[in-house]
Amino acid sequence: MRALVVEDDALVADTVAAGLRGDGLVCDHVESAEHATLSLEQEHFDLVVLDLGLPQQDGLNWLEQLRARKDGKANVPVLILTARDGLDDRVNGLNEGADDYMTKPFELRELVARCRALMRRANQSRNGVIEFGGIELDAQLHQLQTASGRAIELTPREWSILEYLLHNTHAVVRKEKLLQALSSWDESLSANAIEVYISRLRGKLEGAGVSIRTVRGVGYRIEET
Amino acid sequence: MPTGFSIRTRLLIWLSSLLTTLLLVSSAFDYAWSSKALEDAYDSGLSEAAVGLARYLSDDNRRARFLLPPLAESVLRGDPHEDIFFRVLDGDDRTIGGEDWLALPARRDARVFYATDSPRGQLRVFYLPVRAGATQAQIAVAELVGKRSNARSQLLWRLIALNLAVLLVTLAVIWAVVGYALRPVQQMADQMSARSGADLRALDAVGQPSEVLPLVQSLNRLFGLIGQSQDAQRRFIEDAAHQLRTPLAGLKGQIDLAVSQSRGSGGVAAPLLAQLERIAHACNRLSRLATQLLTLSRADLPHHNVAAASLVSLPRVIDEVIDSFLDRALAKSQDLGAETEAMQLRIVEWELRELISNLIDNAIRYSPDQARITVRCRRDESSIVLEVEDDGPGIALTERGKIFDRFHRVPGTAGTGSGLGLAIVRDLAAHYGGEVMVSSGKGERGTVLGVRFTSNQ
Repeated sequence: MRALVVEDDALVADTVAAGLRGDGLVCDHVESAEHATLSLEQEHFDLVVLDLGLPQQDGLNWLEQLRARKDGKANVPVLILTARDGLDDRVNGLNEGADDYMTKPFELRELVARCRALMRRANQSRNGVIEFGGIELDAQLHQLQTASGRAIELTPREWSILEYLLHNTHAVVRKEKLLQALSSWDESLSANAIEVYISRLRGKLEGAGVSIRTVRGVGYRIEET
Repeated sequence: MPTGFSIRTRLLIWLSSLLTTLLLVSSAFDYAWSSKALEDAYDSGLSEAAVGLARYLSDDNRRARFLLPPLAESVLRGDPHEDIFFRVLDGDDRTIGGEDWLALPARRDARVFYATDSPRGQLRVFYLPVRAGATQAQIAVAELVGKRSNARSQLLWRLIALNLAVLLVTLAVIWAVVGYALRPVQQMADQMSARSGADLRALDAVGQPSEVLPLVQSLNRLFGLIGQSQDAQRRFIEDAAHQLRTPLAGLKGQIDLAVSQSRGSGGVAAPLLAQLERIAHACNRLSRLATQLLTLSRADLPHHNVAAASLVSLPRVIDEVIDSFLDRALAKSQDLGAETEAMQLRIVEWELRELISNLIDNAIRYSPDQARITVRCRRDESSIVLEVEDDGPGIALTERGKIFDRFHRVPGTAGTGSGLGLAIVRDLAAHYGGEVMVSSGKGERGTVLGVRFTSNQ
């Protein structure tokens, strides 16, 4: 896996690169949008970490151009990392096609986790496989197995819930969202039913290196253990 | 604030005192002239009466005779109230008609007016030496002066009444005209007071009177300057945000890396690791402080764009903020959760986010490990209450009034807060008429800190 860090501040770039390398990624660093375009031509990247306040071409502008490309590189996951804050910037960034957004100063661990989640999602859309903690979920074969190769059987609803949680590994998934996501599948699903499925999932995932945390009154977060 | 007299009052005070003086002087002259004319009229009446009496004199064998027919006498004396008296004498000073008590003047060689007393009061007398045929006679006609002074005082009262009326009408006209003339100023004042503090649009200068125009122009110039300085301030804050955050991000990341690598490899001595952790901690405080200062100065801007407020779902934002604080709560094994029901608040979303963030940050920071922290939104009659409850040590009653002050920290508390978080909560809430609240939690334990929004919806 290869990541491109587009950041004009050397210290921040070095930090991000070190963090990603620590997570087992190969990491390239460029200081301007122009260099980012050049690097992108030469290499395949699984992720771009993009600063917005770049010296010449603005980061958002570059992102717009990237998304307008006609080749496969247009779809590379992009995480925006910026000192700007405020709601407008956030909405802007996501509208231009950013997949995630973090403001400086940031927690390195969280940045790495979010990058992981982005690549995991991209990987799944490419080959249908999500790896997280000690489990591997193969959407095409509809198989879930642990690192030790043990297969776990899930009902369709349990599968849907787990898949949804795995798509949002760095965030608390609101119970409401979960209900919405499953409502097309079964209109009469209740909030209580979700709790039942979650508790069954917990039972089945025990010892698999993954746990589901309940955030009281909010929802659930899947975590590596 | 003591206010000066209004322009209208000033004008009225000055004009009324000047007018009063003027009217007093003119009344005095009027009175003097009129009473002189009055005197003359009365005097000529007296002399005419004397001349009239002379017609009834005749020469009776070189002796003057006076014969006044009763009809003529009643015409002369007229109304008994008129109090006319006369005395007719011949050349030898024998009284031949009228009242013999009427005193004569000291010199009797020419006609003369003089005053004398009578039992009925002061008299004005006209003395006229006349010829009756070949012989001499004298006539004196007198009138009580009381009649004249009555007429004079009547005159005086009429003058006073007339002048008072003129004065009052003039003041009323001034009152009305001043009000009319100052209407543009009043309209401008109304226009200004109807504005919000953030409204810096120029005032309309078209059609303003030349006296008011400079004021309007100066105000517009001032508005422009304030607007510019606010823009400059806003730009500075944005720049400062960027300039501060980037190096802080680098510093923080490097320290985090150093800490995690030292821990992982075990290659660093324990004291050094402890030092690194302390540096990491300080760096976190610095980051938080920078963010809070920026939030505070941005929230302080009077031009702050409340107009950008929109209906925001409280449960959604609460859930999102809880998400971002979950790891920090978990690090202290705290149970961070929510009790929400669907409701919307008209607010600028980043401000709501900052408000909730600071309340949660405060609860996590000052509650012990394993505390239960609940973020809640609820309706209370017509208001919406947003609150964060913890089951920590609670806040003493004496401290509760001060906790929302900038840089105030409750004495004896551990932790590394900036003392800014709750001040930010208070300032942001104030933008929307929200009121900060503090109380004890359930069973008089812990703390509930929150904001009540009333007229917002």
